[in-house]
Parts: sequence; C-alpha cells; structure tokens
Amino acid sequence: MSAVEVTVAAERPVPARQAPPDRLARYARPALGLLLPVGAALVWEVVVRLGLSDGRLMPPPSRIFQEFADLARTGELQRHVVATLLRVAVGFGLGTAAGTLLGSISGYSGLARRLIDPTLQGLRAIPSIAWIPLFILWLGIFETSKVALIAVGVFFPVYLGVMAAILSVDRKIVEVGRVFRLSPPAMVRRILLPAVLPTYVVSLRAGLGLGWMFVIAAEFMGASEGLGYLLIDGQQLGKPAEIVAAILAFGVLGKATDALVAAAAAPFLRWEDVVTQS
Amino acid sequence: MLALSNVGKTYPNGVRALDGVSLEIGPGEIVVVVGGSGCGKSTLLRLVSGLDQPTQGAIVLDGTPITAPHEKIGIVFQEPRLLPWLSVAHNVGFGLEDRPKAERSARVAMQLDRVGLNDKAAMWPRELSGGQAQRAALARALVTRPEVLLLDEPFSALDAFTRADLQDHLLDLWADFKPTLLVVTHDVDEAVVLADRIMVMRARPGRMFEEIEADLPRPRDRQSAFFDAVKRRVLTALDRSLDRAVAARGEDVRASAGAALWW
Repeated sequence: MSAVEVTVAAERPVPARQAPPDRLARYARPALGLLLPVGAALVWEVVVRLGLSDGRLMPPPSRIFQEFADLARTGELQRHVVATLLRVAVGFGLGTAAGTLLGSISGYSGLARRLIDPTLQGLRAIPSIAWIPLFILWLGIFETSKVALIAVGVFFPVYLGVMAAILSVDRKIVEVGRVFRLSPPAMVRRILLPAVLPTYVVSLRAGLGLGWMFVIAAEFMGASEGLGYLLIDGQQLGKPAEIVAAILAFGVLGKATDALVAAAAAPFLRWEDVVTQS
Repeated sequence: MLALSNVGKTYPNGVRALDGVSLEIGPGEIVVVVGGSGCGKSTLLRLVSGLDQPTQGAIVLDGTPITAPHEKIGIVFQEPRLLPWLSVAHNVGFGLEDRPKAERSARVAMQLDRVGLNDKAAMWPRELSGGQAQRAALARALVTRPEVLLLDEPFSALDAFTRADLQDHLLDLWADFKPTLLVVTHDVDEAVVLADRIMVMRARPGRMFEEIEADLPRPRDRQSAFFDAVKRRVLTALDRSLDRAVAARGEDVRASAGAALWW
C-alpha cells in the first residue's frame, strides 16, 4: 500500500464502508441472542452423545424433540394444550371483563373509587395462590375453581391499569372535548377510550402473563389433563423429557398469545409516538 | 356582540382572579388583552369560553348568557392540544362530527388549504412541527365558523420567526369571515400587530386597567413610527399597571422593546 493511499483513507472516515456492517448488524443482532441457548443445547447434546453424561435428569435436545413428536403423534400434546388454552381463555376473559368494568367505574367516579378501591387493594395484597383451598371448597376441584383462580390473577393488573389510565387522561385533552360540547357517551367514545387504550393494552398483556402463571398453579391442584398435569405426570413417573417438553410448550404458547394481543392492538396504536428500534 | 358585565371570578381556595371586568366587543372586532403574569387574563378567556363559570357578573353573546361551552365560541389554547390518535384531517374535522360526511370532508379540505396544511392531512399530529400543529389547531377552531374566536397566548411557544408568520396568517384567516377575536398575550408586539383595541390588565385582583385604541391600517408595518408609538403607550400602561416608576425609565424605548417579549 502506497503512502498516498494511506493518507486518503485516513482523511475520510469512510461513510461508504458503513453500509455492509449495518446490514450485517440487522441479522447478527437477533442471532446474537440465540447464541447462548442454542450453543448450550448443542454442547449438551454433544456431551451426552460422547457418553460424558447419561442425560437422565437433563435430557439432551434430541430426546426432548423425540418426546414432543411422540406426544403429538398420540394426540396427547393436542389434548393437553387445548385443555390449558381453554382454561386460560375463559379465565382471561372473565378476569378482563371484571377488571375492565370495575376499573372503569372507579376511574370515572370518585365516589365509587373511595367505596370499592380500598377493598380491592386489600384483596390484591393476598397472594392469589392462597385462594386455592377456599376456591376448591366453594367451587369443587373441577374446572370452575381453576378458571376462578386464573380470573383472579388476570383481574388485578387489568383493574389497576384501567383505573390508572382513566385517572391520568390529560385534562387539557378532555377540555377539547368540552369545548366541542361532547355528550358524556361521546366524551367516553371519542376522548377517554382512545386515550386509555395504550395503557389498557399493556395491562391486558400483564394480565395474560399472570393468567399463564396461574393456570399452572390451578392444574397442580388436581387435573387429569393440561400442560400442568403433564408437568406433574413427568415428575411422578420420572420422565424429565416430558417435563421439559411441557415447559417449552408453555413458553411457546405464552409468547404466541402475547404476540396475538399485541398484534390485535397494533392497528389502533399506530399513532403512538414510540422510539423505533434501531 | 359579546358583552361582559361586571365579571368576577373567585376560586374555591379564595383567590380573587378577576374582579369587576366589563367589556363590550362588537362583531368582527379584534381585542387583545395584555398584562403581567397572574393578572387573570387566562381566567378571563376560560370564563368567556364557558369552560369555567364566573362567580359574579354575566357574559352574554347576542342575548344568550354563556354558562357552558357554546357552539358559536371557539378557542385556541397555548398548546395545540391536537388529539394524538386522530390524523391531522380528523383533528380539524373534530367539531363537524354531526355533519354529513361529504360536507365534512369538503370543509376540512378547504380549511386545511387555508392554513397551508393540505399536504399534511393524512399525517399524525406528532409528525407536525410546532407551528404546523398550532395552525392545525387554528383550523380546527375555525372550521366550525365560530362567531367569537378566543386565543390564549396562541403563539407564545413558537420561535420569533414562526410567531410573526402566524400572526400575519391569523389576520389573513380572520378576513375570511371576520369573527370576533379575543386574544390574550404577553407579547406587546403581537398585541399591536393584531388589535383594534388593546386592554391592559393589572393583577390581584385582575381588573381592566387601561384601554388603548390601535387604529393603524392593516397590514401593519412592524418598523413604522406609528407602530412604535402604540407599542410605547402599551408598555407605559403595563409599567403603570405594575406601579413602577415610569420616570425612571425615561426615554429608553430601546430597552423596553427588548423587554417587550418578557411580559
């Protein structure tokens, strides 16, 4: 390389060379996140294949996939997934409905808030799992008590989110509605509803996350089907591959339903001033 | 005719924001209220808009007492207050919801054209600059053709260049159908550019202190001697409204011109 070339290269901080690293980064960044789990799985697979470990307590990826395939072939996987999904769906629906209704009421009316909010905040302080024995006595050991527990878990984040969102609606925006003489229903439809929507979606997603947590607790308390049952079954029969398969199924379903809620809300939230990810 | 007779406002915490304000504004007249901060000028505008109620006296528009927001009275706030979830066009058409769709879109398009935002119709409010957003707010208030338009320090958050541009633009829009304008500002230049009549207020409690006619021809040359003379009268009145010694300032108009933006 001649001296002239060196000077030129040093003078220009090379904007032209920035494009390739950018393009690389777009694919490299998500791949970076996969490096650790995939790498660990591969290492474990190799370790077991080489006979350095028997992989009995922690089965290698190949055995877990085999377990998945077996469960799917016999229709077991579908049966358990459907059972769990149904419980989460019904519990989430009920919890969301109650949380939205009560949250709106105590957000809208100060009197109602003073009346019901202290009681609900008190109930919220109780870890929801503590309700299980009482729910079983009241509602039996079948579906009703399970759905009730999930609904309780979903209720609180939704209730709090809706109430906080309504209370924090900008007074200045509400005044715009008043200037245009909106009736109370129109004020709700045209000002309050769109204003609380972003917070509402966040609280729905938080509620759904808790719903998935509580479905496991509900299925631990005696179920004959469901992914939680699969976990217990794997423990009692000493089948770690079945446990890990069920855990993976929970992860996939939780992520998928969360993405579903986010995607359903996205068209209504395009106006949000969010920092686009770089 | 907008008539305020002996209007007063005492807030529940006992603060007397406004006391005994009487004012008559004819159709198409432009009245600008100036005063130091805390003199009750924003309170005055909120009362006329019907967002707040006076605790004494009455506000009457064409024989109708104003106790709540009225369809013939529009308002532009200090901030644009556009609804972030509606496009610019839907924001402008916010007050036309009860009209047929065809009429609504025609009037919105016309008004957007008048404020020079027709290429921004489909954008979100967050994508507008400060001046564009305030123009959209102006369009939203004007599209319903109010008889009275209230402006609460409408351009105070904008840079000097955009502000002067929008002041001229406002007069241009006013000429479309000549609504009554009641403007509150702390910018003396803005008052002299816009007003037929300038009301100087004094604080604690807020009262009308002095009335200054500004019968200069339009468009007004901000550099002319007449402009300067009116401005000097307003500044002197403002000084006296604060009980400051006028003599101490003497003829130092240059300093007061610099201070004009401070009010």
